[in-house]
Amino acid sequence: MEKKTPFLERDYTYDEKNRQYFPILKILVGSKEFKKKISALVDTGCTTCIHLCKSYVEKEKLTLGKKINKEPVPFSVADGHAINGDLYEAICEINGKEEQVIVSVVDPERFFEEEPKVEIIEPLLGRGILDKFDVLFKGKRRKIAVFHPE
Amino acid sequence: MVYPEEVYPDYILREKMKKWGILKEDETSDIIISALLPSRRFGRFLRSEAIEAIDVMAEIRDLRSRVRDLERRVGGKREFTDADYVYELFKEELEKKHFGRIVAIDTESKKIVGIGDTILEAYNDAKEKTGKDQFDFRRVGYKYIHKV
Repeated sequence: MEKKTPFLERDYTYDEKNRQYFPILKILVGSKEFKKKISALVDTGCTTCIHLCKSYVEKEKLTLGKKINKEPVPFSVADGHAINGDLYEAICEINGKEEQVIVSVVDPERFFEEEPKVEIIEPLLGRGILDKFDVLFKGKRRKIAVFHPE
Repeated sequence: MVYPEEVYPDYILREKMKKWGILKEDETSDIIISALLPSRRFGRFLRSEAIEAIDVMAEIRDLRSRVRDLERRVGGKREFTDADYVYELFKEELEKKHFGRIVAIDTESKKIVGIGDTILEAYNDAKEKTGKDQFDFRRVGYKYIHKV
C-alpha cells in the first residue's frame, strides 16, 4: 500500500491561558488581490468554510471578496443562539494551495431573542474547507496533517 | 468627567478618624478599622481642581442615539423576509427532494435560482443561470444556514 505524504503537517499549538493544545493552522485569506495570513482553529463541528467574527475582520483589516448575500443570513451557534451574518466569496490559501471558499462573518450584536455572552470568537476553519482534503488528527502526538485527496 | 481623588494613607486616616470622634482609643476600634480598610477607600476631592459642569441635554441626546442604535441592531425576533416568503412558496417540494441542501433565492423574480450541497455550489449555479451576483440563501428544512 502506497504511503501518502501530507502537504502540510503542524504541531498543535499550546494555549497558555487554557493550558490546552489546539489544532491551529496558518492560512492566507482574502480577495484575489489582497490576502492576509491568519491563524484559524481547525473545527470539525463547524459547517462553514472559514468563520470569522465581525470585530476580528475590522481589527485585522481583512479584505474579503465580494459579499454574496442580500439579506443577513442566520447562523446557529453551538450554545443554541441564532446570529445574523454575511457571506463573502473569498480565496483561501493553505500551504500554497488556493481554494475558492465562502467566508462567513457573524456579528454577535445582531442576535435574535436572547443576547449571547460572547467574549472572543477565534477564526474557525470548518468542514466546508476541511472536506476538500484528507485531514488527519494525530491526537496522541499532537499533530495535524493535511493531505491532497485521492 | 474625571474627579481627581486623594487617598489618605492608613495611619493618617486612623488619626483623623480618632480626631473627628469616629474612632475611640481602644483595641476594638483598631480591629474594626483593620477589617474595613482593605475593602473600603476613603478619600476626598481636591478643591483646587475645577469640576466641569455636565451638559445634561448632550448626555440625553447621546443616550437616546445609543438606545436607537441598539434597537436598530437588535430586532428581537427575526423578521420574516422576502427570501423567507419565496422559500415558503417552494418549501414543500424542496423539503421532499432536497432536504439539507442549500438553495439560492432571487427575491426579484421570486424564484429558487440555484441549488447545491454547499453555498459555493448553489451560488455558482445561481450565478450561471441568472448572471446576477447577489442572492439570498437558505438551508432546506432548517432555520439556519450553518452551525458554528
